[in-house]
Amino acid sequence: MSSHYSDLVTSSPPWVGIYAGTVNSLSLGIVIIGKFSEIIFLNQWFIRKSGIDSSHYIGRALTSVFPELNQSHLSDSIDSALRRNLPAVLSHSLNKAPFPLFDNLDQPSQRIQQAIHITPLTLQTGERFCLIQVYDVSIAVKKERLLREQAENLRSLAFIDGLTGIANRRRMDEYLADEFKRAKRNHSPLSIVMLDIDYFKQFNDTYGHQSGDFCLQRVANVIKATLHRPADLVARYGGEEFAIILPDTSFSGAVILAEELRKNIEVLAIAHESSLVSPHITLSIGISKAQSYNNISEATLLSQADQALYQAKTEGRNRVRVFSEPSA
Amino acid sequence: MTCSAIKTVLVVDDSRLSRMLISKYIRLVYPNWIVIEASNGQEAIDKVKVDCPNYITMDYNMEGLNGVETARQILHLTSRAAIVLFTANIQSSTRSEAEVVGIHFVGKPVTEQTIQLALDYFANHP
Amino acid sequence: MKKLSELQQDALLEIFNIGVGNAANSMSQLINAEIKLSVPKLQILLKDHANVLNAFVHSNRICAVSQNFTGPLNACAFLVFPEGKTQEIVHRMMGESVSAEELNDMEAEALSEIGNIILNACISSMSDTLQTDFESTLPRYHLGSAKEIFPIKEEDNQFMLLLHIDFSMPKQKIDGYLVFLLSLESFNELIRKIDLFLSGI
Repeated sequence: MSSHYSDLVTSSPPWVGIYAGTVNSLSLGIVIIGKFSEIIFLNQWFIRKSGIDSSHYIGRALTSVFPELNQSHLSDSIDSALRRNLPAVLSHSLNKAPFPLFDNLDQPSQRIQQAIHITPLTLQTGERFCLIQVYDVSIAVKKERLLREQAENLRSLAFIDGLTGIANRRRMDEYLADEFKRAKRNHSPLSIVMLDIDYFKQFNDTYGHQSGDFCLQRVANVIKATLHRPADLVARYGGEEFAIILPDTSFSGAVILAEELRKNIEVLAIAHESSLVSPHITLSIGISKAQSYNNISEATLLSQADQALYQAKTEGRNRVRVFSEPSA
Repeated sequence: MTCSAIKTVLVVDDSRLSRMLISKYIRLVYPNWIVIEASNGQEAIDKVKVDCPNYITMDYNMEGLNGVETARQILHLTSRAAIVLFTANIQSSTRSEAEVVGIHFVGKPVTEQTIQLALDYFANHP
Repeated sequence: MKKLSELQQDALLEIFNIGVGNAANSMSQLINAEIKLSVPKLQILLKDHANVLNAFVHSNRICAVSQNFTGPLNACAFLVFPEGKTQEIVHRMMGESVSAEELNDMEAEALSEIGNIILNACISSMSDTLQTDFESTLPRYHLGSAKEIFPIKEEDNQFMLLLHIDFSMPKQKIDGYLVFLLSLESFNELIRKIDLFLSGI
């Protein structure tokens, strides 16, 4: 065996040098493991990035140089290459960074992100080795994360009202459709609250649009703060109109919430000198509820809340009204 | 081994090959035992009612009732049977499923060594 | 053409079930969640492989991971899923919600690893039972129609071993297929090895 190797060296010296030089110049990690799971070779890239003392690893078991690899998927895969001659890929997504490799050895918190290929190498003599190629995929991972974040941002932007930061009409329509279906399936109650800022046009005329926008933001914040359950959704329905979807909420629950809202806005005491009902900003509120789900759609439910809101307005504003079927 | 009493073993597996391998080895080790077979959970339950086996080896993946569910129902009928779950589902979740029901776990493949593991368990449950 | 006896089929199914059982164990440990795999059914086809597979996966486009195995018998092995299902598998294994339409490069690589684990485990189980050794290529990822993915020419007389695979994760059950393409010669060799194994029982 050894004479065989020296034959190779003397008969073709330039090739051996070229091979060694190539492997050591690669910008990926090369590790070669022998049949007793011992390290036979590490290339320069791997030595540089792992910071291990090159005089100490040769002949030692991989898991004794890197104890954290004990019983890992990586060492199982190396075993399988050595014993069964089967290659393996270790994706970054499922393995992250198995080897402790660093671009900056002073910053051991930031491992190089890795994709790993494991290939068995069988010599003509039958002796088997295992070649491990370690790719640095840190840049691809970063790019991927960035793209994902951007996609999520875009998606959420498409569902959020730019001024108030709460859900927009589109998001509400989707949410209502889902919740309506769910309520119908489970025979659970579903309430809708519609509310409108009283004399908002006059507010804008008196204080200017900037103050109007600010007022809308404060009202939206109060509504958000008044809702307690994660399933409750408030959306800007249009101009100064807001809608709240309340799954699993009975009429009485919705009325209590609406009253609380109305009071919270009163307490806010945003001056509104051109209002005909109060010196401050007030709300008119209408409520509807799905009782039985026969012959009713989510559109009907919305329009019923709207009708109740209209009633609250015609009856003098700054009040809560619930929808009731007009008696025949 | 001292002369053992006659025991009845029920081998439950949807693979005829596995049943053959298990039955054959048991007969080799205990020539006087009675070995019966079932190819699914329901058949196993029916045979338990008739033949009252002392020991049962049970596959996990079978059409209809799985092995653990079958074992649960059998233990409801009779608490005297010692059961080994003999399965290719070797992950810890299946092991703990077996543990919850109170049956022993042996991982496939079916080889003399693994069948012997089941027999060792039975030997401790006379 | 050859029809397998019940016992020969049983032996093959058992080999694959032990393989995927081992694979499920490795994957469960890898992602720290319970994954169960089983192979309840086996079919052998000699014609119209691509069409049959299309009909099975109910999707025009399929995702596959392949490895070529060589040894006393040669086989192209594939793990196959309908296109949409692979996202569910990969994202759940990565612990993320399902979003994009198509797997991106990194996700495709993750699927290659999953295929690699399953195919290697099946081949290992086969080597153990039939006492043979194989060599293998690294896994390759494919997306396309079954016709594009399976390198079959009608005149080749290729056998297709088609195994239904149940892939179950918490709250999720996905149907996939394991496909092995074998030449007539390799198929006969497989049968011979199985018979040899059965005769030893």
